[in-house]
Amino acid sequence: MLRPAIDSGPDPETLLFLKAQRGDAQAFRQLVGLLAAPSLALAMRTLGNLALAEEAVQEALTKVWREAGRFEEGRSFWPWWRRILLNAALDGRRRMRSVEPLEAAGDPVDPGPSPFEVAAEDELAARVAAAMAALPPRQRAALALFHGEGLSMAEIGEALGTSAKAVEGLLSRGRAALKALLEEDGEAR
Amino acid sequence: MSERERRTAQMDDMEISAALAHWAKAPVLDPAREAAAIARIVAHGDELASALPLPAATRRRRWWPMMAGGAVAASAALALLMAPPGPDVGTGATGAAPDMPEASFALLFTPTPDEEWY
Repeated sequence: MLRPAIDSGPDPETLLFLKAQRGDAQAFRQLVGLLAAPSLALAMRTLGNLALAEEAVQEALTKVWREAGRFEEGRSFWPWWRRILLNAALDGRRRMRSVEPLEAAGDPVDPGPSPFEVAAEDELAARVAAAMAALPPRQRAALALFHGEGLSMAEIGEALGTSAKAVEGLLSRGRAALKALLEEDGEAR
Repeated sequence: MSERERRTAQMDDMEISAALAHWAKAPVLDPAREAAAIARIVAHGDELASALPLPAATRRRRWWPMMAGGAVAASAALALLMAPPGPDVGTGATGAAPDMPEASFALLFTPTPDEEWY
């Protein structure tokens, strides 16, 4: 999960960021330690490629460090961070490079061995992952935030810089495309 | 076509939701590759924190009082330049500060008694 489950006062990440904002390098280091794993996972789900995901996280961290002054005190760090991270991940150049052809849907998302491959018995999960790789990154990001993070349409809209209505469309098209790909794949076998 | 494949060929909404939830929550990388990528990200964060003395925001804050002071000084100078003339300027009533350009002009074109004679 990319955010704390309960919103009760400033979360540790927000507190650390406020310290980093005042120039505390150690707080920034701690913050990076907390952000790295969940952010890499979200970027990975969005881009379907480890190298690009890692690059996006690093770029987002650079931006956060450089533009710390733009963060308004009293707000939560997470929505701000999510927006910066997804902006970096969905950057035009990176998005274009992450697109995989439909024919590749049968291949694993990442060239290396993944838990999906290791757990070969979970065939459906592997097929879902392969089908997801064929969806546009923006749809994948919306689906990951909705089904993985449990965010509302408005929160996803904030992260993707769009309206809740547009998010509804992204989710609906993503689901329909996934269903069509799985059915197509099932019939083809 | 296996039984499982037949089932995915006719997935209902609940099954799609379950599959998506699994995709969105299951680990996406094997632990070794994930750990290596995280280590590189942490090293990048460390590099950022070490290379730059302070975030740009903090550096900007140092400029803030100077810029504010400059703005106040500029406003004060502008206000002085734009201020209307005081009651003793240009009226000629008090004689303290006569309107010199107008006085010179009058002297230049007013004929002296000798000039009037000719």
